[in-house]
Amino acid sequence: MSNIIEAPRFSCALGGALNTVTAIEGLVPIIHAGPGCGVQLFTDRALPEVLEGPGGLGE
Amino acid sequence: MAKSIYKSIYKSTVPVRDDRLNTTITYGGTASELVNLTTRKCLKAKDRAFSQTTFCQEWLAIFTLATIKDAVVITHAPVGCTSSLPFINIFSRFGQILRGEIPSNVKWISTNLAHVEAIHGGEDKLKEAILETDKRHNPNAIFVFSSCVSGIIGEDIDAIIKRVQGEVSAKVIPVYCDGFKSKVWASGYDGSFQGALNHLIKKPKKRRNDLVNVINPLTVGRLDEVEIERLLAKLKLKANFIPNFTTTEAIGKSSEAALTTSMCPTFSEYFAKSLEERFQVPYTQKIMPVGLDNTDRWLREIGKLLGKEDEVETVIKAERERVEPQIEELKEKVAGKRAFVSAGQSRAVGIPNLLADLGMDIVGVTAYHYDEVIFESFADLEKRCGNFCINIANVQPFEQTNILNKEQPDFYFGHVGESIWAAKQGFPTAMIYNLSVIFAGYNGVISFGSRILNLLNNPSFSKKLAEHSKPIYRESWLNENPFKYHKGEN
Repeated sequence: MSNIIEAPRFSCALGGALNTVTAIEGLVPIIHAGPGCGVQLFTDRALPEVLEGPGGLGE
Repeated sequence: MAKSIYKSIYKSTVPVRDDRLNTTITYGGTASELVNLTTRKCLKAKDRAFSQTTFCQEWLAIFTLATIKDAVVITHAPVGCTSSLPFINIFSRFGQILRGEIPSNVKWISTNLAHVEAIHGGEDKLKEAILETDKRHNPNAIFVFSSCVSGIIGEDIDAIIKRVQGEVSAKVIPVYCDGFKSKVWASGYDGSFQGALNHLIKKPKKRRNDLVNVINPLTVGRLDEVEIERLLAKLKLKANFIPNFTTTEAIGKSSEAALTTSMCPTFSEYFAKSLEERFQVPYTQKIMPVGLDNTDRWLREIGKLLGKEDEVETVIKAERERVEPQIEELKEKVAGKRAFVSAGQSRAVGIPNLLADLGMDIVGVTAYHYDEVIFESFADLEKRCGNFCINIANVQPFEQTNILNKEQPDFYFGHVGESIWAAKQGFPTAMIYNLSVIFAGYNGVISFGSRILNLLNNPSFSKKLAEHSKPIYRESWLNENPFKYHKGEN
């Protein structure tokens, strides 16, 4: 069983996948998930991490 | 008579806004058409055949309660569902600095649900998280947020909390905000406030005639609060700003207040109505006090409810006399400029009113959603600013890019994440959630007006950015109808 985590500053596998795909120019991810997963993960990697890997999508 | 939902004190959940307020997230057309459809009660809920990614309820629910000083956030969710918290933490730290406090981090814990718990249930982990949180931080309250996963597996958070409550000193409060239940993310505010209402707010022992609850979201900065405080002080009233940067005790005392008002009616809608129904605290939340006329109306509503009509008129007269010469100066420079605004529904009415005070033309507005909270004020805006383009969209940059390309405004005012799209198209932008600018009250018109003047004097950032950016969408999409992917007819 995985443990509870205090103040995690990383995300789930979907976050990593999105990060990779959006970093490649010309690729557009289609997120097959709940309504907020995209923004939830975007706010993690794009805003506090100084627009790490925002890619060519204008995020 | 059906029991009012605002009184549903035994329930932890609130019906989502799609059902409760008939909130719509999809509309494209002109403002007068929308007002017409609303008046005839013919506005039907539509959806999109193609949608870009957007927020969930949980994001906004955490955003509502994360900055409470003596509380800790537990998300009963996979670890990715706390991804917003490092960002909310930045907001929180800025907010603390602006309030003269030493910044400290938001305290949050994820139960880190994985596939095992998705099959066997996550009760043990939630129990462990609550016990650990109490041991490590000794808070007064622990908020347990639900998620898509805990919702889908049917986790009974209420029952788990009941079982573990005796072992901890903190009050453990469930907040139901399962993301998949609604595309109207503002429903998350209601889940948070329901938790606060059920567990933190007690029956008032006394009434305080000088205390006014001001319900502000985290996007309302300290400078706005100072302006609100200043105006209320002139009426010998004291503001109780909740729920951000406050304590569980201050939230608990909100039932003693003489009145509830708000900077953002969309945010406070459920809370203000519930406070009235459960604790008889009257409320006014018709409009956002942004722009001269709206601030007048906001003050007059407060005056009417507290029997201070004469004092209010004196304040309005004095304030207007003070700011009008400065506004005239600004007006000379920016009048006639064409503006496009994108914001949450309350700001989408407030900011255009402020811009109209400066003599600017509103060419288009995007509101994140649309419901009865703004029916009246939106109709007033349409009367004032004429027939502009209106897009109801829960952040859909592809529609916005198309509209901006057609309207070619002089300025764009929007959220941080959206402004960059407009800037890449070459439109000078100003962020309307900027915590270093005042938007509220009379000073707000001058403060934001000066910000617009900066843009007018030097728009080169956006112009250069556009020169060096590749177009985001193909020419073929920009020539299409921006509302091509709306499903359903009105």
